[in-house]
Amino acid sequence: MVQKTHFIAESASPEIPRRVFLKVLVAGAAGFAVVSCTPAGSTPTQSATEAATSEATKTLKVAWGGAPAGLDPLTASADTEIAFLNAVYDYLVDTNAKSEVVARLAKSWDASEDGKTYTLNIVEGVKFHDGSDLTLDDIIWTFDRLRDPASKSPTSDLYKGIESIEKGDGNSLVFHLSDPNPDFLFSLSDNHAVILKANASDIGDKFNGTGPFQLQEYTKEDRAVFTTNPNYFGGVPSVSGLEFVYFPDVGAAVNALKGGVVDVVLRMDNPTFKDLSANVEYTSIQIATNGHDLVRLRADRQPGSDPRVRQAFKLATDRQAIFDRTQLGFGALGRDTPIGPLYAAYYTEEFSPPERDVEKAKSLLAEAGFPTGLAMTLYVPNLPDRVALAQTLAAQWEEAGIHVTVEPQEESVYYADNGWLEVDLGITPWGSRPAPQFYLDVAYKTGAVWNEAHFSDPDLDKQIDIAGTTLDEDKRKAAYKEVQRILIDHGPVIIPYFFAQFGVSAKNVGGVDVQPFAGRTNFNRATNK
Amino acid sequence: MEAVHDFRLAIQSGQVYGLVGESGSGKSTVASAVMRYVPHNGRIERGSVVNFQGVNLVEKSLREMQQIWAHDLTLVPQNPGAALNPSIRIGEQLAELMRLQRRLPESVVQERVLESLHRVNLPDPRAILTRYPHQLSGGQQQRVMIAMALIPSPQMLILDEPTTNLDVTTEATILDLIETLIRSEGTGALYITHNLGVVAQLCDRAAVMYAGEILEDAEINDLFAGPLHPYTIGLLNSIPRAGQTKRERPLATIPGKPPLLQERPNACVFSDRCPLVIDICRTEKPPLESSGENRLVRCHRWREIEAGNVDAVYPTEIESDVAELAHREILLQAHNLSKTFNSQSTLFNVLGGKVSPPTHAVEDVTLSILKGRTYGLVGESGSGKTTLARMIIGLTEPTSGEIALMGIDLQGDVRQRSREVLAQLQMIFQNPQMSLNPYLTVGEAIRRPLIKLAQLTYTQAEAEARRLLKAVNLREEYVDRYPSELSGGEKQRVAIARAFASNPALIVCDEPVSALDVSVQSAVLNLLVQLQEERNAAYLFISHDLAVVGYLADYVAVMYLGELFEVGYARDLFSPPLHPYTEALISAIPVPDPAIRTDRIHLSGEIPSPAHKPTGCAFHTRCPHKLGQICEVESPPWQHHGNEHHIRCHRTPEELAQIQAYLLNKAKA
Amino acid sequence: MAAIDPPLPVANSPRRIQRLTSLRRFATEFFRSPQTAIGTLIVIFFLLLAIFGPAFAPYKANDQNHPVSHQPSAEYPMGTDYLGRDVYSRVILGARSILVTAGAGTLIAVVLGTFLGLAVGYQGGLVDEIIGRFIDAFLALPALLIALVILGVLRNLNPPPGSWQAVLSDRSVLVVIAIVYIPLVARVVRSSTLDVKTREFIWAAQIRGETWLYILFREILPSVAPALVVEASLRFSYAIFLVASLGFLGVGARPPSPDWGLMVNENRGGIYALSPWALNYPALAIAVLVVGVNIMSDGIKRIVQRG
Repeated sequence: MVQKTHFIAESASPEIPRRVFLKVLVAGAAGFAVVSCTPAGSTPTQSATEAATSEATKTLKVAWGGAPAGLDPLTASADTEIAFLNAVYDYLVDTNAKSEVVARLAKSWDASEDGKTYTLNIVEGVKFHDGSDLTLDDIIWTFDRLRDPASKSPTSDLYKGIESIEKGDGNSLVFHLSDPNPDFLFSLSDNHAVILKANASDIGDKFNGTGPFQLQEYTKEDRAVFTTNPNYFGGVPSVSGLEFVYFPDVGAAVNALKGGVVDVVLRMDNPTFKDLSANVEYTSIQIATNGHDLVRLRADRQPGSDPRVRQAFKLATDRQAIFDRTQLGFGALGRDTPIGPLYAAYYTEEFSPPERDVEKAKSLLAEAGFPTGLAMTLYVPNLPDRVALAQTLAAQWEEAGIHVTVEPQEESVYYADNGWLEVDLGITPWGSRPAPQFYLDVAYKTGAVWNEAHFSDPDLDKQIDIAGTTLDEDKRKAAYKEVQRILIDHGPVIIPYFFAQFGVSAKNVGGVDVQPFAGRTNFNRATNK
Repeated sequence: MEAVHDFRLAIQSGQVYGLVGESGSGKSTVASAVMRYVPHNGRIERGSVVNFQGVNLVEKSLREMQQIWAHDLTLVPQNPGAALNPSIRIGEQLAELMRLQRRLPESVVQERVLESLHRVNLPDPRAILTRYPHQLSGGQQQRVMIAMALIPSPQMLILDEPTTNLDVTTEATILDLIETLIRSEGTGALYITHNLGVVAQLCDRAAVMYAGEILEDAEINDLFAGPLHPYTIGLLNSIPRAGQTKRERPLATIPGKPPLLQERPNACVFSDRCPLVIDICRTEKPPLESSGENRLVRCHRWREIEAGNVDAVYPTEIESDVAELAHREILLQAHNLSKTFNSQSTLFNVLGGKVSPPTHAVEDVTLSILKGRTYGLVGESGSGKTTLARMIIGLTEPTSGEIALMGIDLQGDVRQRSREVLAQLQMIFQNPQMSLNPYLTVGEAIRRPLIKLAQLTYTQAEAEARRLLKAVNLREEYVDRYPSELSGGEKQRVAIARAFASNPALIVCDEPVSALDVSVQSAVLNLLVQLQEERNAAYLFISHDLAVVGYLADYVAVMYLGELFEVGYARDLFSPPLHPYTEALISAIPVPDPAIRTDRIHLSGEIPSPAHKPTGCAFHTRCPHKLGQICEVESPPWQHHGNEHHIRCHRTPEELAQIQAYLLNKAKA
Repeated sequence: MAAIDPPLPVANSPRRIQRLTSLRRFATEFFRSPQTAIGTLIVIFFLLLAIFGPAFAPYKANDQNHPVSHQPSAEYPMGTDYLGRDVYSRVILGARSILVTAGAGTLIAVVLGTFLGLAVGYQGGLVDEIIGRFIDAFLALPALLIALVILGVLRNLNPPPGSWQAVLSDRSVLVVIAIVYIPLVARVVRSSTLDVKTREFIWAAQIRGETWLYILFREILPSVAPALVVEASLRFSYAIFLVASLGFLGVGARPPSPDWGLMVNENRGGIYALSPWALNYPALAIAVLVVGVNIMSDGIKRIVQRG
């Protein structure tokens, strides 16, 4: 499963999420953290309670499919890279599996009434691995680096809204924003925002962080070996060490788990997980994410510019069947909007995409000037899940007279030269984000940089703006509801499902805090007996 | 499939027993069977006895046979190159054999091996010991095989066509050697061959085999003086004798061809070719009867033949009426033709500064072929005769010299010659198997030149092809047959028909009968004579067989190592032969008449390789009448001796004539 | 008075050529070995499958209206795959594409390779040296590797639709098969030509003034044909395997095409545990066909060598 963040680095385009201040959200009832057969009752979501035993247990070996390319926080994006950073550094705040902001280096926070000032209280007595203390200057330096326009990092746009950062009373930091940003805390938890020591050199080669693990040895493309940080402010990790083992692909990683060479594997395809979860030797964890595969028809030119054609596509698609077949029951059903059930507060089932009606689809196409149906090419990255989706869509649409030729392309080709933004019909995987505003700003607003469907609806734009700036929770809800209605009614995308994130560990392993973005999985409370 | 039927033979020690037969007669099978060396799909029938010194070999086990092969009964095979192990040095192969004899100390073994090579007259035996088989010439290899066969001092020797692949002068020396050795050792020998001349000269007795059966068996004098079987008679009459020319009488030919072993009739196997055939011959197999002391014959009518009441006269196929040598104009002239091949130098040679000397395949040859006449070219291997033929026909470009056809210069490369020229100049090749495209029918093969060169339409060509087939004495039905269904002789006739298709003025015949069986050769030769008369075609007739050339050619040239040494009218050349090489060639031919025992002129050594031609006179290394140092240094000049007769020698023709007269007298004495 | 040879008994005449062209005798020769018979029958079976199969396939290739990963049963003789498609239908339908691609590719390779081999072998000299070295260099690389490189280029061209590059890209596997096997065929033909070229009937053709093309195709080619036929049938079996391999690697036919190699690729990994039959049957089909063609070409080799 390719996370979309991978490509932020490549296209230096702005990512401007605006989030509502999250003190409203914590409605943990979202309940999508499904746990399957966990004997010792170790629920990974309650990570805090688990850390009781401070007895050193064995090293925890985690297998990844793929390997880090670059480890500078400014540009790192793949989950292997983020996982590495997450082990040796700390963020100010984290998000949990329910998409709530949780404390890390910032132990508590406050926002002003107008939403333009945020005060974060930083934990005291935190030390870097080299023994020096964490000071507010370090944090300021880190964020200055991140928001420096010359850095060409996506974070420079992300943090454009920060006017200034200054020290506050006690051990606190004050962020002054130019505009109110309800999702500001989420942006502080951005993957790139690990806290570095001021004026650090050889960033990306040397890792002097505050994190729960220290790098002992790193062999590129092979493995990274970490020892625990005895001075970790959050408590010394329960495992005696951490090892990330890099495999060429997820299949090899899973084989390593089966062979007992590693203890944990994160990220795998549905059938593999289904197979492993049936096996009592392993603890299988799945958590809900907002990651989805998106099928889009370009809406700024024929044939997609005609709303009847878009409607025909929607009518020709049986989302439930797709979900049942390809997801094997994992994840959640999609409704053609990027606002998924993970966002419990905003997700609504009031509106639904139409039931499958092949005849109606055909007649709509005829009305729109295609009496004999359509013939198009469906471009899809050459990943097994997406190719399977393409084939299923092809079969369903065939019955409505839409004949597609499936064209799998290597990812490097699909995304090259922004080709994926140009084609009429394509499937694009999108990774999970803590809040929905990101998708809307980046992909659904008129003229947004990743608006692959080239969709432009002034009503939609208006709602997106409202949701992105208002601090009024009710107004936000209403706006998101309207967004969902519009997209379901005449949007250019079909989203058949949201996929789940998987983690499988050997039975004697516990405490692995799996996150929707696999790279943010926390191992500091893991145990390995 | 019965390959050999009712074969019986008795050889005494010290006796050389000849076994004569053509291809398919079963003679090689007999040799193998006697040695018990039959292939896995063959077996010796019950009741067969091979009585070797009182012991029946048929019942022996492999182990016992191995002992016999090692000590008592040895074989000299037909192809020495194939019989020698290519990856073991000669000395070692001989030593291996020696060790099988008895336990001898190694030094003694080596001594004996050297001795054995001396015995077969190999020059520089020590060097030969260290060489590998491929580094020896054919003649040398065969001598080694003979040495190997004689190492155990066997009781009996079987020789299976040992000289077939050798040049005639080399063959002569090998035959001498065999004779000497056999006589001196007192070994019994079974000599298998198709060459009646060899049998006449070498053997004490001979058996004639045909289609797996013995047809006649007699003492050698009896066999040649008074043959009783029609087949033997036919064979003897179909061989051209030295001095016999086409003008005297055509050769007798045995029509038809031997039956396939699968199709042997249960009657007289020769019946469908026999001029004396009667009904009983076709229904009852004649028994092998004794016709006198020590004589066997298998024929229903042998008594009549013996009594002289009937004559086995074979139709000669042609009415020969060869006109006398009237004056003819010149058809083709070649002036100073030469061809030099630059041997490819390997990288090592170039780096080492060594340049391999070029090979002068043909040097400075001049000849004129008259219209409608046969120009015979005689030469052994390395003489350059094939290269010369290829130059004339245009397949090889001359290094220097000109060729003119009817006065017009010819291009050296056949691809540049015009259609008219090509139509005038055609060729018949040595190997009938390879002369015809196996995937084209006879008709297609003959029609092609008719359409392409003679520019006939398809219908015309179709009719003409049939006419040509008739002209070469093949039935019209052959038009649809494929070459694989034809015998060797028939294939060659088709090739002749094809060559004559465009009505050429000159046909180059490169050893056209050498690969054919004796009984078939005569038919083809007669045919060539007849066609020449009918169509006024000239031949450049190339052969190593002087008797055949002598029979067919009007004018003869003798070639050695790329140079001409004697040219003249056929009859002038033979009686007596003046040039030492011509003399050697003639005396090397075994005459199929035991009464005439020629004193062979031994040529010492072997034919040098054309890449290493001797200096001066190319023949001086082997010349029995070498004059002196002048022969080593200077190339001999052409000397004139009578009617268009020229010789290249440092001695004068008169001197040479004198030498010949002297030798003749000596022989008579 | 002119004695002519007595007539040949026709019934027993060993007409080698006739034997090869007459179907009945060909068949007797051919089936002398049970192995060859089996091999040929397998090939014929798959050919028939390719030609007539689609009429008998119960469902379309991408028809997903069936239970997912269903075990083989009466209704689905080979079960269904992870998308609910009938494996039996897909295997039948896949026969056509693999045989056509491999067959056409081999045919092109044989035609062009023969011409190249004949010309180079007959010409000899410098031409033979230079082109021969090129061919040798080409042959030093494994076929699959060359195929992947060429396909990589062709597939990622993203050519404008309708252009010749697009057609080439579509038919890229076929093109690749041809390119990869031309040198192999050329080499076999060349060595056979070198042998035939020395025979006297070629000299006869040369002194008739035949053109170069005539000599190559009318005189030399028939003698080369036996070796060529053996080589062609062997190439065919390799081509089938290569097409399947390329499909497996994902660079061959595009989904949802029922290409057997693609089916093997799609159904391995995690899915295999859920529906192993979806991989086993296409893999079996590939194996049986390749072995069948191989055995058959052994048989051809035997006839050709004997005859």
